[in-house]
Amino acid sequence: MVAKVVPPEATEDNPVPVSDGTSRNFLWRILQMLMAPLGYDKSLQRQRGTVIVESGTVTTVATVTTTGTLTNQTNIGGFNADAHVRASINAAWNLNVRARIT
Amino acid sequence: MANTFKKVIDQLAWRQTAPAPNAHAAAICLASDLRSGLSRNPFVYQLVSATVLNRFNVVTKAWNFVQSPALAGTFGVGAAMAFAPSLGLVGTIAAGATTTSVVLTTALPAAVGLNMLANRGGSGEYGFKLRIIDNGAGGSGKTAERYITGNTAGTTPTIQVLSAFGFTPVSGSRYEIVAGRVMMLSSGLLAANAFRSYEVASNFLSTTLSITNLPATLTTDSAMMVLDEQYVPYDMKPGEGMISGTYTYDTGVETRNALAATAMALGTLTGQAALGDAVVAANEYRNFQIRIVEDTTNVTAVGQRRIIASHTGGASPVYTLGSNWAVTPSATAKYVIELPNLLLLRTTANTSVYTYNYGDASVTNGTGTIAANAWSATYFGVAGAAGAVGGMWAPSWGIQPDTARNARHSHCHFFRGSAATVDTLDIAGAIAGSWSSAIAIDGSVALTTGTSGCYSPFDNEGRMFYMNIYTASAINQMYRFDVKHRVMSPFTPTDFLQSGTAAAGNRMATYCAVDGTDEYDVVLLQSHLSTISQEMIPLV
Repeated sequence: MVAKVVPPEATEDNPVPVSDGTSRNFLWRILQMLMAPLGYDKSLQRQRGTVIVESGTVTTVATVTTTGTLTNQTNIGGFNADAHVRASINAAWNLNVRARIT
Repeated sequence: MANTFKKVIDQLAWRQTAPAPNAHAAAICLASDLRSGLSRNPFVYQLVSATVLNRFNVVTKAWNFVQSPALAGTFGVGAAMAFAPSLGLVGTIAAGATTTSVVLTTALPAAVGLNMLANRGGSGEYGFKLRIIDNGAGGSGKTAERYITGNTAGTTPTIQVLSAFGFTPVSGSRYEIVAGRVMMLSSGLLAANAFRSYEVASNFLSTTLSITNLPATLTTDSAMMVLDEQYVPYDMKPGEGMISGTYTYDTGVETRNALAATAMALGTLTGQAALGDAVVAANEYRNFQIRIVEDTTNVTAVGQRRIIASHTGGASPVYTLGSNWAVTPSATAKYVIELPNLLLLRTTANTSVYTYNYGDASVTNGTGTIAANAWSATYFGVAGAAGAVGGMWAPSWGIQPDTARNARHSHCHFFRGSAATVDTLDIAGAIAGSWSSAIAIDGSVALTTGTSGCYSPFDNEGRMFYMNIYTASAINQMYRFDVKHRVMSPFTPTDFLQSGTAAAGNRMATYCAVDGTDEYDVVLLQSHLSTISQEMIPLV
């Protein structure tokens, strides 16, 4: 078992060695940062962040709390979204207009 | 009316209907038959390009491709379309008719299939309408309009009708199949077949329509208006004309009334001493036509059409004809006063009214004459200002005039385009009509590129002209213009928000919904740069 070595503070007079055991530990710290980068929530073990998805597929989303703007929704529940919209509009028409023609 | 809509409390709404086969793009236009009643052709036509003509079945709410109109020219802005119901298929009948059938002598322009004329394609309720004018020697001198229930195949079919004519037509009498034609005008440099018609009963595409006297090139917005004898006020039936008479000259599925003459001469007809046309104002119906619908004395006089050159007002009005009768009717002949079967075209960048005679005989008002299948740029006078983008015709033949005759059937409003200005052509205002520029209207809105509109003469007392004054992404772009009272009001907006760079074309059409004795306006709107189509039934 290798004993843990605590490197001294790096200063102008005490630069980080680049070719000894201390530098090996420095690389270890970089590795640790890569494993848990900024925005990583250790309690959730998930990355948290505000992102722009340029393209691609989001397979499953558990919960969407708020959507600011949804420019287009092509399909809903396996149906073309415009079929839902048409059905909704026409249901309102049946209620408000057709019912007035007897 | 079975309309229980409560004003202010209830709310109008557009409904979604099947998307069009082709999205709207610049110059694409719609046209429909504006006849009221059962006989109207149940389709809206969509001219998409020089090679694509679609149609929308107003009963089943479905679209299909019709055929290529094979238009010459370069299809683009400047193209226009309109529907003309009358005089598409005319000729004489042979011997061998019965009280419920006739045999054609004059060949149809294209062979029809067995029983093809017995279904107009809507929902199969009635066939095309056959008008028989029994004016052969020895005939009855009567006119009957009947729905076709069967026909043999070919170009000279034997045709059966739904109910008896009331006479047995004699050989040499005239037939008219009142189905209609889609009149299509291309744009760009006009050449032969840049203007064509598609006859909807025989599916015949014309090949020889004139373009003489039209501009050499069309590159900017055009607007067509049809003044057809089948187009009548909202409370009249096709075949009855503009003025209600009390003499019933035809009984079938629908009865038709006419006026009764009180005197006749070679070049004049004298109207009723009371009721009917005894209340006309002087020259109110100048440039309209008189059609003799019954003359049991001089039987060969029936069916004649003459343009009214002038007439007196009040009781026993004397109509002076544009040309003499070929056969002078008897003094008690029955007649109707109708629109003159002309197509009027305005196109931007000039003030001319291009008038086309789509009938089979020349029309003359005594000053101007247009041969059959010919255009005239002088029959009606020039407007006070050139048309511009979005220009549209809004006629008034569907109304009933007010007592003072401030609003008349002869008033044809023209939205000049690019501005809120409306000019009015009164086709009876002078022998070449008269234009009133920039009439005062209430609630004007400036027209823009992409503006569309259509007259709806069936309900709301025939007063409403529906408009989409296009503004990209604006919620409020729907309006309607009351042609009788000259008031423009905002109208129920669509749920679908129209957007995109403005493109010309006419995306609106109207048609009549018939429910027993009730008739409703139906407005179709194809959305701008889209296939999305919506319908409105204005109940108020």
